[in-house]
Amino acid sequence: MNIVDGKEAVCRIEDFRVHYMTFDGPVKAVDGVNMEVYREETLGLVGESGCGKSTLGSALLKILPRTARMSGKVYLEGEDLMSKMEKEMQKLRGAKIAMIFQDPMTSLNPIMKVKDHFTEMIRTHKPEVSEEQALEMAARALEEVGISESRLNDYPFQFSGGMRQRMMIALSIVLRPALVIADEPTTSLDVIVQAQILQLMKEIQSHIRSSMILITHDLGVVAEMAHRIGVMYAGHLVELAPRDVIYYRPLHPYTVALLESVPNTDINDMDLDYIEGYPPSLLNIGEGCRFADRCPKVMKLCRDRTPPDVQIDEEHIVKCWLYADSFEEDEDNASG
Amino acid sequence: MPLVKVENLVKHFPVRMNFIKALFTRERKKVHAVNGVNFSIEEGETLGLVGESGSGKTTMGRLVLRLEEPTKGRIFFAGREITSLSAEEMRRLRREMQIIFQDPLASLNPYMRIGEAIRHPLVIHGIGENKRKQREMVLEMLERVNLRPAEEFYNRFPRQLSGGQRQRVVIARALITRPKFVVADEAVAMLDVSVRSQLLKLMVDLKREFNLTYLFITHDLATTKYICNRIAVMYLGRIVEEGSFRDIYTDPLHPYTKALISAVPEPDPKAMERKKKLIPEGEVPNPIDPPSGCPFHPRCPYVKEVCRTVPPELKEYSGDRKVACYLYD
Repeated sequence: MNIVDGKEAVCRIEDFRVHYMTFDGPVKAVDGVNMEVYREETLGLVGESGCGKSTLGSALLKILPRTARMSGKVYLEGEDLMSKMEKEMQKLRGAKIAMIFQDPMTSLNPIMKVKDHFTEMIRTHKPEVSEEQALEMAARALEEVGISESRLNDYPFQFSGGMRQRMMIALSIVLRPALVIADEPTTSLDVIVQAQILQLMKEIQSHIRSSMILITHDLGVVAEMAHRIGVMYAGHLVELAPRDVIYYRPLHPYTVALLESVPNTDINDMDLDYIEGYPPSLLNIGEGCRFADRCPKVMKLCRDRTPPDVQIDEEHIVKCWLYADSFEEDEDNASG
Repeated sequence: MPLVKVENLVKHFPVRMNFIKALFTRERKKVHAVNGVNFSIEEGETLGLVGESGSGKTTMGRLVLRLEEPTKGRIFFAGREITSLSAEEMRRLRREMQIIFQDPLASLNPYMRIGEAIRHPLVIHGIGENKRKQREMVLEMLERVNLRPAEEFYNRFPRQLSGGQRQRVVIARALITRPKFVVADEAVAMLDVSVRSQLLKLMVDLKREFNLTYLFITHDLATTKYICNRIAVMYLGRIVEEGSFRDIYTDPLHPYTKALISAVPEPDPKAMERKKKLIPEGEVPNPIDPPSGCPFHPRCPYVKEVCRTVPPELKEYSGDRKVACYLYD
């Protein structure tokens, strides 16, 4: 296992790529991502639709469609996931790495009772656990998320949206995985229920001491939940830093522009900024910074060469040529 | 005189029941979508209608345009009661009242070139003397919503456009007849942050340019700030509070509005920590069987005896502020 700067990395991702193969060429959904997830932290992964955040999340569980080609390395508690066969992955999913999806209705089996979801999950991974013990574990997990034990005999459709998401959370944590990936867990919920669920996720996480990757498009949600935040744009991880650095001292022009375009409820801030244009198509996309066409600070170099991951300080990484000069020697290039 | 006014509007939808069951039950269940709503919108004003799913905000928007027939109540447009106008009269009137829906892909015909889609209302209402004139008007409108080069966009199909561009097409189509009043039902909700702000800005600019009056329906309080003059907060088919966005944001009165404001995630960690969290337990009750009395009473921390039995009326609190809550009697 890795210890980085006194922090223990539960998950390490190195030069990770996911390309979807199509008849017209590869769609480079995730292209060269490096990051670590520390123990007990929540890493927020934000970006707009099509930036690759969900692809990255699903890739860690290796549940992508067959057209996806993955390369690079992913280590979970020291184990190399990319070299694992499907059979071995099945043993890890749910036990060591779990996923909470956006829409619990489509990820739960509608004709299976709640208790059967739990017993199946528990007994697949731990065949030594008896039916009764599994039910006990299920009841405890439900209690942790605020659902009464008596609902074990209900079907998923008998739950409201918020309750269903609570149940999904209970199901994902019942085996105490080291890493939970939550992919837009509150996006389909109303704002008050969303606040309830976020509060619950926070409590649960500190209670079971797992790490979490929280994938969302909502910069408000990560502001509340995440310790560190990674910002994705068009398949690149463009900035990675502790939460407050992202909000108050962002460096990448995309992060800056994105933050300015998010509506807030501060009545003294009535300016509505926006980013011109649209994200690029990732089909056959070549070298260069992918934000270049919309970037107010674009330089010639940006369009020709993909920027490196520039390490600003221990915990702050920016993928941008603007900051490369103080670290590399080609200063003429960067300021040109 | 307000441009749009609704009085005591009620809409109940019957709940479908299977035939055998229906034979044996006398009581017919219904969804209480809108339960006695009053509001008015002055010319040139934007009223934001804010609420969670099931609050009745979308039904409200459809009722105002009579895309849905009200169970009870009256609707006025430009001083004229339109509640009992015939279908033909309504059709003619719709030139002046348009709607923008949430999902642009669902509101555009996939086999119709977008230029033709935008031209269609002109054909229906007989605006523009011939096809060439109409085409010119469409091109001008495409330019105006920033779909350039307009000539090129005219011949494209919806699937060849991005989500933001499609919503621009829908806006262009709604405005081509030069309406006075536009209902925007979650018009920017499906778009990504950076594109959402572009569209919001466009809607604000167009409002000024075409002298529009909007009913802006949304679940997202934060977007109302940029476009609305006044906000009405809906909960289970009733307006619980109404006021300027400034008052609603800084000093919400109704316990539900307070909860709603405190639940909005802010893109600012420090502001989030400062914010008092007043998150009520539970979820919005089923509108088939809404609670008696005040619809919010089962979740309200300040509930009194009277709240359980008699629904509070929306009363003037001060100036242009109204609230439906016994705390302020």
